Amino acid sequence: MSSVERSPLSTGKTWSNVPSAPHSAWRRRLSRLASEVAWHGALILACAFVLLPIIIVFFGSFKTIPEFFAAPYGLPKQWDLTNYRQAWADANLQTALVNSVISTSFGVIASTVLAGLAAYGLARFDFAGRNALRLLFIGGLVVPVQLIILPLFVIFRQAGILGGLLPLCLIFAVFGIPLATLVLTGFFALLPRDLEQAARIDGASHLEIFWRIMVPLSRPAIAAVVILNGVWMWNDFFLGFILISDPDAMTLPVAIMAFRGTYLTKWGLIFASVIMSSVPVIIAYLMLSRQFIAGLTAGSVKG
Amino acid sequence: MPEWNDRVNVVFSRRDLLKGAGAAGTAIAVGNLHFGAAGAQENVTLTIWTNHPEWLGPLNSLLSAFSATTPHVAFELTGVPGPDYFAKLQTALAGEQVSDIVGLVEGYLLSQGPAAFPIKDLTGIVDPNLLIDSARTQVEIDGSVWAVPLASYTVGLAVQNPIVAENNITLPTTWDELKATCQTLVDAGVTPLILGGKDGVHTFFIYAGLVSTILGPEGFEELRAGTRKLTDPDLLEAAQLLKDLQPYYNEGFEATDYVTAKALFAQGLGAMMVAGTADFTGFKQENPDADLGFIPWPGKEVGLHSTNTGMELLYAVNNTMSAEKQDAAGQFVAWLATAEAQTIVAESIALPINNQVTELSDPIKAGTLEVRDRDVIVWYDVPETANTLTAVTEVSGQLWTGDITPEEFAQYVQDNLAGPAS
Amino acid sequence: MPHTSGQPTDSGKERNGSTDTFRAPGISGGESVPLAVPHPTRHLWSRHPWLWFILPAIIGYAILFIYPTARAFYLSFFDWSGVGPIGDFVGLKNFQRLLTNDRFWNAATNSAKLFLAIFILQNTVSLGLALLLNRKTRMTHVYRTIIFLPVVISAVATGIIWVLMLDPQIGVINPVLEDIGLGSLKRGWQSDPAWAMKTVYLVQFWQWNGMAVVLYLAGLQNVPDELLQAARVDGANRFRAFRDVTFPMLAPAFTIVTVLAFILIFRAFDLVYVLTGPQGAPGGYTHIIGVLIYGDAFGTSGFSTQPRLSYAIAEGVTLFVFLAGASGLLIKALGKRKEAIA
Repeated sequence: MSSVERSPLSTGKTWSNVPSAPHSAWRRRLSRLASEVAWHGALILACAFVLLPIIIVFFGSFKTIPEFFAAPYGLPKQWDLTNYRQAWADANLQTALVNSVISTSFGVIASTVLAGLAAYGLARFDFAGRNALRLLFIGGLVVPVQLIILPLFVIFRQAGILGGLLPLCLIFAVFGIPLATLVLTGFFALLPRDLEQAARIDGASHLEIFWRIMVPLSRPAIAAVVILNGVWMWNDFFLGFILISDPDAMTLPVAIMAFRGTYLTKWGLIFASVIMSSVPVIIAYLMLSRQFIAGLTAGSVKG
Repeated sequence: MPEWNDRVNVVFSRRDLLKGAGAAGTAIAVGNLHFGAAGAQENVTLTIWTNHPEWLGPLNSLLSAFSATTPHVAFELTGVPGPDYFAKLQTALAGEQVSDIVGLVEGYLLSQGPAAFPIKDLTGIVDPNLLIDSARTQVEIDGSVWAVPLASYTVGLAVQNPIVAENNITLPTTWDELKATCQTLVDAGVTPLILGGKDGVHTFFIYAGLVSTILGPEGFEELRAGTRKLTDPDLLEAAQLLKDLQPYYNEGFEATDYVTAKALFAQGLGAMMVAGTADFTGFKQENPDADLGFIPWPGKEVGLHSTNTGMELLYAVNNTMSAEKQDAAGQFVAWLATAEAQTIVAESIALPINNQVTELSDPIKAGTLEVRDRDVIVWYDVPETANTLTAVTEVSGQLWTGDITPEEFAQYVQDNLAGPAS
Repeated sequence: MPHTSGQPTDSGKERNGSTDTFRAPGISGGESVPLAVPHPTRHLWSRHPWLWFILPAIIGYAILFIYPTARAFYLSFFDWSGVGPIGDFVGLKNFQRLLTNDRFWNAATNSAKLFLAIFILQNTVSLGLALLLNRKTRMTHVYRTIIFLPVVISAVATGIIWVLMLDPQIGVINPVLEDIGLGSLKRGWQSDPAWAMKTVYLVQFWQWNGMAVVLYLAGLQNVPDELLQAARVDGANRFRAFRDVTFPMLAPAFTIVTVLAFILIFRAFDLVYVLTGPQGAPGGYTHIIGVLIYGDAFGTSGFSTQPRLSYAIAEGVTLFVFLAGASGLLIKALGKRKEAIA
């Protein structure tokens, strides 16, 4: 961890205080400093593990093929955007981006609404078969997608909507239900009943209670659901690959895999496409990271 | 890519989709959203897929050449990466939602029979007399014609000419010379053979190529008939050679994928590589300056060299669409077999399947035809050996890791020639 | 989590303390709830009010989840290649075949190993990182944000990134080792049978670690400071305070982290497919169950093959039954553990 001690993050202020301290306090400070250094060191190591591959790919996205062989991990010779321009145009990323946004938003919103209503029904009412129903919903988590893709394909064909983006939207809307039900049922069940009873006495309907009391109180859990489902929908390759044949309806992961097949191993181009496809979700994540993590924190581990 | 995207006739607008998504509950109401819009009388748009996305440019030129004479027919061409193509086709077939011009993989029509597919009988529309024999056997079943292959290809060894020249190597014509050449190259610090061993497809073509040198076309008929077996002592030697060449493949070849291997070879990081005609377009794209040659597989003795020839996608006509579209698609498939179309194919795609197109301008393709005098059909093109590719891909990795011997390898492939034993 | 929601009223009381925090972001009480207008279907609402909430989800679920699953079960009893008409009824033959197939057991074993590796890593490294991150400094947020980052990167992109890192020709790891004088450690990371599966663990963990850290962090933030301080006052050292106070409170986080990883790993496909290909190179050492099913259903090469779709579906059914049974037991066992501690 010697490299870490040089880090500007970890030392500085604390270090300058050390020499003037009395003996016992000096020892205490030293040990606190050591633990501080170890703390930063361990976390910087973890961050390096995460960031290095991303940085290498970022550099790679500017390189020509001979440069890869000459300097696999060095800086690129020049920072010109040829690869980006070509990847943007050829991989049809603009269209793919719009498709990914549409399918993911639709899937996240629809599945959260459906599961939210269902979770309210399951968590706040007593009726026969309630547990069985809850298990049925949550059981969806263990269904391998490969198992049901073909029957699904046939259903969409019979409905005559195969080829475009709509089947993917509908599948996302339903496939998001198990996880959302799992998280939201657990969360709703923990909310105190007094509020609900007070509202009932005031004559509020169940739907009003759901919308005006449960939903606002459950924002963290809803955030967690939106994040967990949104991430997999955004990144899904398999469903999009099998269900979409219209090149104008491809989502980002599908477009990138197709692009990879088209350009064999023009690595620079492929990495440029990988970077461009990841940037929107990374920016969204960085902007929302507080809510992101707070949502997961509050929403998913209660109970 | 811009030049083909402009050509693509987009039937399905995004606004329609949004409307459809909004009315998700009434999904069935938007039923004919996708294909319904193309029903106009004069103009027909046909969907067609290719398993070589790197050919999108040349293929669009081919399709434009047809549209030039038949202006009411437009195409919507989709490229699906080769390794994913079969999954796409299989799902689409199972869901009865294939493209208008159905691109069947070679051998599939013969092994499953035409009745398994939603395709139109093209007897009387396509002239089978135009086709070379190996193409004709793929598409003519019991006197009926069902499809036309886009092109054919021949597999052997691709060679990096500059590396050969630098190391004063004479191209190998026998197994012993092949091994000696590899040793010379290794001693000179050059990787002799490039192999993408990750998915086992390259390994299949090497193994099939080496066995074919022993069998020849007649011997292959005996393998089909079951009178010869891959475990016969003389054929076992091919499996042994496959293993003996292991030290000469590129570092980490066991996990190198098909496309990476192609790129490594095109970049000159190895002297030779198993390759078919279709691969040369990719090599050139990867490295426009590549100076390449093509040789057949060396045999045990001089003169026993051999190649394998197969077909690119067999294009058939989807029989579930309107009569107008079927007519237009039939017209296109019939045209594909003509000398006019196949001249374009020979220039920019692969080897022609029309028996009159024999003057090839491309030196590698012309050279391929010259050395194709002892040729065996690509094994999985016929039902009796249809499963050999899958069988090899399943166990080739274990041959490299040493988990199975060449004998066990050959035994497994022999046991699964036509399909997994139930 | 699921086991408590069975008794909503009880657990609501039990955890009254923690529910206070939920109020903060929401509205305060029912002051804005208007009176309901009498409605013609009012009696239906009051007779089975829950039905109306569950119905929309049930309908979608039945069409796009339950029916396809049932249909898949049905197909697994037939012999069907996937093209043309469905073949003969063969009873349990597909299942019999797969249970005696080495490739199936090899892939199942690899999936189990992958889960075990991730399980161990997330209960050491991820939990350790969560403990480190469980304090408020300026840098905490930065570290936490970075560590979670891979979770939002697509599996396809992750696969492509790591194939580059590990490649022996254009890769990064080997040249770096060489340049820092550790040339002897160079490996064909993906081609050496001894290392190939370990690299899969590494990459899978790279992608999934952030999620485990954040879920554990969430669990840690539920541990009341007073309890820890009380333990320290009672003379417990840090380790004992962790073991006796923090660890038991982490039970719900442990449950969700473990169950999610279990389901995720056994259903995994995209990442490993991009990383080691359709045959789990080299020689099946990295073949996992999701990739096996995909290959059997759709072919492994893109070329002609003799597909046996119904056989692949039977593999999927077997996986489904295993996952359903195992996660049921897992949740039950973890729930018991929690009750015992509470």
